Parts: sequence; structure tokens; C-alpha cells
Amino acid sequence: MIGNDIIDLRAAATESRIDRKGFLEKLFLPEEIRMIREAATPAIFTWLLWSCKEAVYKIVHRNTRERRYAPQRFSCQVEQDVTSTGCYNGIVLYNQHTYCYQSFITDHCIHTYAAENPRLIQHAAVFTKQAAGENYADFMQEVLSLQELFYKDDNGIPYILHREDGRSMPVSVSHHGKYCGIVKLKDFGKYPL
Amino acid sequence: MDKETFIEQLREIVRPYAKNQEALATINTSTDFINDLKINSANLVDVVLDVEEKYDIVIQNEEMERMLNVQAALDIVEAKLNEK
Repeated sequence: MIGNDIIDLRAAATESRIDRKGFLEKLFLPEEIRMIREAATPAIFTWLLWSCKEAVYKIVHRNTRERRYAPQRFSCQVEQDVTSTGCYNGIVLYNQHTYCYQSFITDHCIHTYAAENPRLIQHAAVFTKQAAGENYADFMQEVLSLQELFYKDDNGIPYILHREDGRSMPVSVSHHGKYCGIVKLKDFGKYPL
Repeated sequence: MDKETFIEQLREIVRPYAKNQEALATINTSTDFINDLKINSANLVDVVLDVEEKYDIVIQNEEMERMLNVQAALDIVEAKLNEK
């Protein structure tokens, strides 16, 4: 299973006050707050960690169909901080399972994608676009091959249906502000989930 | 506090974060903060913090977990106010 989360940093800056009393304390664990406070750019680090929690939440939600607002149940660790390239990777612990993530940060956007194991994340096909709001239909068409059809199930969980063999595979869609992110698996159908 | 009063007060709390103004206009106990009001998940914590401030209560993590709709918020706030 895969999940992704995108954050428009300019939208986040106007929508949230991360320095308001209780904001960090409700969303993050003490160790995560320490990492945020020690970071060169605390705001970007805040959203990096938030995007990790959200990306993994999407995997958990897809698996369990249970909705919960429990960000402190997700414990983020940054293993590699390649600040010069804007790429981060690490792990998120949730309910005794280890998920891995990769993030890339540009001036105005953080895009994080996560998977249930390191092998799967290598097969993620990641697409990022500065698109208009929630209207990602055109972007989805660019991402899909002619044999692929995008749909959502009754729980609103997105899939790609392969027209030829009728199989469905998970796809993760995230939009925030002007940005949209899509993650699907390369080589449709080769990887048992 | 009666239900109607709470919903009116909650409507004002969520107003700055709600992206769906039509759902805000018809807010009721079954209104979902994220699916109906289209509140960004990062802003749901602001709703929790604003509710805490408004009613002078502390919402625990286990309660925040299920505070996804108006009914859950009402239940949590009522229980907290009854404890006082």
C-alpha cells in the first residue's frame, strides 16, 4: 500500500499558525517537537513531519477504513536529511508497524510519499504538479495510461482500474493550495500488495 | 447548554477553517468537519484548540481522535462541562 501528502507552503503559512499555543503539542510527540525547534527552518520541518503523518495515515485508513484524528500515534523519524537537495527520507512508526517515506521539498511545496515497506517505495511513480485547487482531473489524465481508469470506492478511496484485465490497484491523491500530488505503482500489476 | 446553542457557537468557531460555505450554512449534528465542511486536516487541531478555549476545557488525545463531526464535538464538550 502507498500514500502521499502534498503541502503548499504558502497556503499553509496563511491557513495555520504553527506558533499558536498547543498547536505543536497536540499534533506532535515531544521528540518531534524537539526536532522542529532545533531545525534550521522550523516551519518547513513542521510541515515535513505533518506530511509524513498524513501520508502514512492514508495507508492505514485504506487498510482499516477507520477514520481517526490521532497524529500522535504516528511517530516520525528522519533518517537522512539531504538538505542541499531538498530530499528527506525516514520511517514512521504506527501501531508497531514501520512505514517508510520519502519527501522532497522545493521553495513552495513539500511532497511526501510513504509505503508499507522499502521495496514497495522503490516502485512508486510520483507525480507533482502546480495545479488549480481541487481540480486534478486533467492532471490525473496525464498520469494515467490509456488502459487505466481512475475511480473512487464507496469510502472515497481512490483506485486505478486496468481496463484490459479488470484489476484494480491503489493510487494516492493529495491536493493542497495550488499543488497536487499523485502516487501510483510503476508497472501496473507486478507487485502483490 | 442546549444543542442549538452549541451548534451556533461551533459554527462560528469553524467558520474561518471551513472551505464549504454551503455546508457551513446547514451545519447540523451529522456534519463532518473534513468531508462536509472541507476543513483541512491540519486545521482540525485549530478547531480543537478553539473549542478548548471557548469552553475552558482540555480535550485529551483519545477524545480528539474521534472529534471528526459536530455530534462528537457536542458529546465531548457536554461530558467535559458536566465534569466541572
